[in-house]
Amino acid sequence: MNKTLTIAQWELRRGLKSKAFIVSVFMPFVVLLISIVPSVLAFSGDIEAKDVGIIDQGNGIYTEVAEHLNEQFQSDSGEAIYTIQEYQTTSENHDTLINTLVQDNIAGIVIVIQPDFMNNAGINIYHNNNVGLEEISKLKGAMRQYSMEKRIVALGMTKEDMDYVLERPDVTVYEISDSGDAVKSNLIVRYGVPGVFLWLLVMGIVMSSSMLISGVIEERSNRILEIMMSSIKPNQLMMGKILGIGMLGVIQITIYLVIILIFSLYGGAMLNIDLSPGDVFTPNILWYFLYFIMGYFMYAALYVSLGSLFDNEREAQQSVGYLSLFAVLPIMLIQPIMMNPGTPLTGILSFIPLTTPFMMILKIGMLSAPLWEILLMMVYLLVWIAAISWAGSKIFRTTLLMYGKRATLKEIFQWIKA
Amino acid sequence: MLKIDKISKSFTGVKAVDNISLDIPVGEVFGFLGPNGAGKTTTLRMIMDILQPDSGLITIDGKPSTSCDHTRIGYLPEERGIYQKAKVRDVVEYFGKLKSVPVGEVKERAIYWFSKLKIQDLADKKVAELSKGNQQKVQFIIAVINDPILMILDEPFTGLDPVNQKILQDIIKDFKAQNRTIILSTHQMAKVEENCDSMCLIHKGKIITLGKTKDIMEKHGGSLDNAFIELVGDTDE
Repeated sequence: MNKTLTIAQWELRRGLKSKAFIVSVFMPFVVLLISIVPSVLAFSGDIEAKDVGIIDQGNGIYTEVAEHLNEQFQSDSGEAIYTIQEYQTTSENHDTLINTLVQDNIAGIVIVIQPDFMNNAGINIYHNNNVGLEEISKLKGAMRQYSMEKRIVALGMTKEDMDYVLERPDVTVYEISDSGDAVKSNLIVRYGVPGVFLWLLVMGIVMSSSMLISGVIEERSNRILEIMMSSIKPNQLMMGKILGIGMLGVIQITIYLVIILIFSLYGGAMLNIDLSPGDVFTPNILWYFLYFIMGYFMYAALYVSLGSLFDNEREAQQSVGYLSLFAVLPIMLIQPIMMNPGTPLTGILSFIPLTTPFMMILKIGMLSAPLWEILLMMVYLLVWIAAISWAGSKIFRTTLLMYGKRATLKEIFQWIKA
Repeated sequence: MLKIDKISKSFTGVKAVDNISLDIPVGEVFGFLGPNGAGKTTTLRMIMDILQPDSGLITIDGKPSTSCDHTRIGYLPEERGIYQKAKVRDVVEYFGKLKSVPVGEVKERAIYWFSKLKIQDLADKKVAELSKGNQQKVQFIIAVINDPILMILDEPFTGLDPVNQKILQDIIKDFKAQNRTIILSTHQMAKVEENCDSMCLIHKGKIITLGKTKDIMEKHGGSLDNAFIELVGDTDE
């Protein structure tokens, strides 16, 4: 056992010093940021002052619309952002005038209120490329609100009646768990947190795979193994590697939890969403943590034992990399599962060992998997980890000093059965 | 010390080692020679329990090699390598711990051997920064860090300049004076002539000559080169 721990310690230290590990820890967040920052930037920032033209085609509401827009689009000091002017067009010059106004930036935005707009004749907004997504979205909302107010007044209601009708009633959603407890439904807790953990586990495994394989290949190609085999047994080497690399996974998830904690403290305000540490750090976090670690250990055992079949890193990465597809599969299926959590697909994938840790993370979060199922699947996964380690050690023992010869699938099964 | 009793080993129908028997007493430097592909490395791996013989028995100090204490055996294989990105000191201490050398002792022994092989200034450098010869010295230190009573050295002089070969030879002589047993496998006949008390020559898995080095040299015109060429050539005919 001491030698196994010595090897584990060595692998852990090597891993912590490697650039590949540092990349594998932070890359998932970099990828996540790259995917959401553009959206955040698109919808942030102040709306710039500009000229807006209104073409009111016979409704007589220019003044009302201009007042409404000045109320909706104000600077922090309360001043109207837009300089609004009315334009008149004829059927002959309508398109030409709009093009000229917009292209020459005489009026960066032109709002055309068509005849009888209240009966869905429509409002058209024309703009040049100086107007961003957020401003367009707000303009559309402002014009829709104006239309609704006009209709309500036309029906004989007052603005106060309209505000009363439009006031959103407080609707609270509760989920009754199998134990009969009514828990307030929280989309972030139900979908966001398990989704993030799933993403981190997949990225952690995919990013770490190259580090895991290259370590084994280095010892084979540098002929370090022969020196090691004079002092230790193949099982000790394999277990030591899996343990050491597994500990890297523990460190990785701990770093992730710290980053998630920091995000839950400050991210809600940044993204204007309702988020607090209590939403993220629920009792389920323990199960996500345990399934993360078990998933990491299982893939470490697979990569170490199968990596030993190859003499060079390129071939090993190509062949063993197919395993990563199993890790990526749950990510690809996350949307259909979120839309229909009770789908049989969830159950089937839970029983395929290579996808079990990922599916259980989703099931715990989205389907409130009962405690007996969580514990049973944990035992199921541990049995598979033991089986993979046992089969892997047989492969490892046979291939250690085998150079220049590629093992066939038949030979691999024979070694496992021997 | 080491008794090999009729061991054989085959790989996919090819008999790599065929009924070899040897008896190497304590304190002897034994030359283990043969052409490429003769079965030397397979035999040495069986002594180290890296491979198991298909038949026969290997005992070390009276105990089967599969169950004896390997922590006092040093092994320097012909094809050898070390972690390139690690520091010299860390690698030596790591392998020392794998050979069950206590942590405090492994550091002291590492310092002793760095000084003995004149690489004390390189101890905190990465292995990749060392020349091939200095890396060979590190590999030798790894083989002897556990203070072995039986040493198996397969081509230990490869990659060393004459000065360092002399240092290594002196170390082998020191080990012999300390009554340690050494199996020396090398193609450098001069080294065998200078260092080995006894020797054997194996070819196609069988021993074709065995005895005192001087006796074998005398039979073949006073030179092991002649002995090698004559005996291996005769067998091929």
